[in-house]
Amino acid sequence: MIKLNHITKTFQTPNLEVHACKDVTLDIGDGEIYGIIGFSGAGKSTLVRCINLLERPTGGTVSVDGVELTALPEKELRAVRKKIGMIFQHFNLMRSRTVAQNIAYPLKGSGLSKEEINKKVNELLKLVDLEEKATVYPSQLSGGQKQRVAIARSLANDPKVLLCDEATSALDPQTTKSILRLLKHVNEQLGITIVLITHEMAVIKEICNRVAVMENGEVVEEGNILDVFSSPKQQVTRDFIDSTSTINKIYELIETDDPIIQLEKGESLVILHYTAGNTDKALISDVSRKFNINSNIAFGNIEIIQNTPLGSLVVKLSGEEENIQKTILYLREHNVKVEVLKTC
Amino acid sequence: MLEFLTQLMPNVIDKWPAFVQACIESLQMIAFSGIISAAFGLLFGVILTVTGKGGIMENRIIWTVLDKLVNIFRSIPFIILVALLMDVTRAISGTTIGVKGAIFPLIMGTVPFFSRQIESSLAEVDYGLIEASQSMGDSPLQTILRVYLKESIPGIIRATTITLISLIGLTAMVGVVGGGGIGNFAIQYGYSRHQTDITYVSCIVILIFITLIQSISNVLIQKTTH
Repeated sequence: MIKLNHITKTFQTPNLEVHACKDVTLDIGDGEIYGIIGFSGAGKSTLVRCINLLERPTGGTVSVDGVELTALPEKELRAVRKKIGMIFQHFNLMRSRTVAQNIAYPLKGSGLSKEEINKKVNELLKLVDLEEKATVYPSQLSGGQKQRVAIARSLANDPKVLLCDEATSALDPQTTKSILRLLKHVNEQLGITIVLITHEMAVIKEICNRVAVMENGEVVEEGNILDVFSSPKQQVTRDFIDSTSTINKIYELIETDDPIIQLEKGESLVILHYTAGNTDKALISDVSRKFNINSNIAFGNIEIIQNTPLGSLVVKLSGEEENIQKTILYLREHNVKVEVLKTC
Repeated sequence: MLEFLTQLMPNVIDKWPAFVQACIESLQMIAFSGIISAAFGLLFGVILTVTGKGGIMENRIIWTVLDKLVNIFRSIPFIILVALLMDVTRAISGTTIGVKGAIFPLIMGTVPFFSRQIESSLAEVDYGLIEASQSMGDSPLQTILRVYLKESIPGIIRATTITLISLIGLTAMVGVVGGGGIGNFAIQYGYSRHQTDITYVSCIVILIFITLIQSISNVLIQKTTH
């Protein structure tokens, strides 16, 4: 659906050149929810603006739905942009227009009659669940409601693609969830491809199928969200994943020698990293029975990503030294990454 | 009643027809130069905004020329500007005195001021809205009309009010150099002949003008701010 081919974007300032995007190549499939994550300044906002050419890339080509946008003259580009919706961190609603007028904004000049426009606006209001707010001005809405209006506005021209630039970054966690649910609904019901820019891994985890991690203008890691989460290759990716997990608390606990992880003779403290496909097996009770050891789960962090459980457990194993070794081997055979933190 | 008024402001009553005429002239000057200045000021304000750095129709040459012109005309004190423009005024209006002779210098004095006022109102439009408009496929002209102008209506009303009030000041000032209107009336009789009641009444008339404009403006701003 969206093909970014060797995109570079360089900003000239009097003193230096800023390389916002360096040779980015991405292929985003039809109907995907594609996440692009990076810390601020990583170039992700510039990259998403290169998709609808709000920023014209310095080099490379952009194709959306088979049309090479970078080759189009201004006038045709404007027509194509109507089929690429966009929502923003700060909603960017027109203050002087009511909710209904905001949603109708992109329909001006579309050839629809007044009645047709009204009908369309009402449908969209229903979709975003704001029917009773049609005549209200944006200043009277909450952040979440504003973003819903913005989503309705972006869908007015029945786009094939929806670009979300930090669309939930100004919202509280509860509202973020409801907006993400709405985006997912839009994706599933209307078949719209969504590109989502964020600095929150929780957002990616919640709804994306695929993710690209950006750092210093480059895509450093890209792939299916399950693969990226279960075996991140880059440090920055690991940092992002850690930001949504509590498992790293174990290292703090070890440092402070917390009572929760105090070991007695013959005990080992291990951390088990589950990758895709083995979390649903009863491995812990398996090893307890097989090797006659006790497994005491200290704490854990298991997430459901794309309907697959994924995560880590911190476990105290106690029993015969030899049996503990066998346990670890057995777990490793079952694709669980085992790290021995401490033995006593 | 008339007796009381005659006692209160003998000179004004004495020159009543001339006073009414002066009021009419002032209104004429404000109306004509106001309308023409508003049109040009709006146009130049928009051009300054969109051709400036990072604007939607960035154009260094147009921006630099317009920006410098506005600066130059804004720096010249109005009373000197009137003298400076005499020949041009005569060529355009056929005369340099009366309402006719005052309109052109008034426009020249007001347009640069209004352009800057408009420019600063438009600068308050959040750039995010411009981006949103572009992302929805608006042409630059549509962005100007539907976002820049439409979204800053309260700001434009405020700018217009400030400019109108300053224009009233200027119309009084052209009175000194043969422009007619209340300014001329007050100078001619109130100042030169020490008929102080004329000065007071002129002052009150101007005050009424300004109060009216300010009140109307406040209502409009309130009605257009959401």
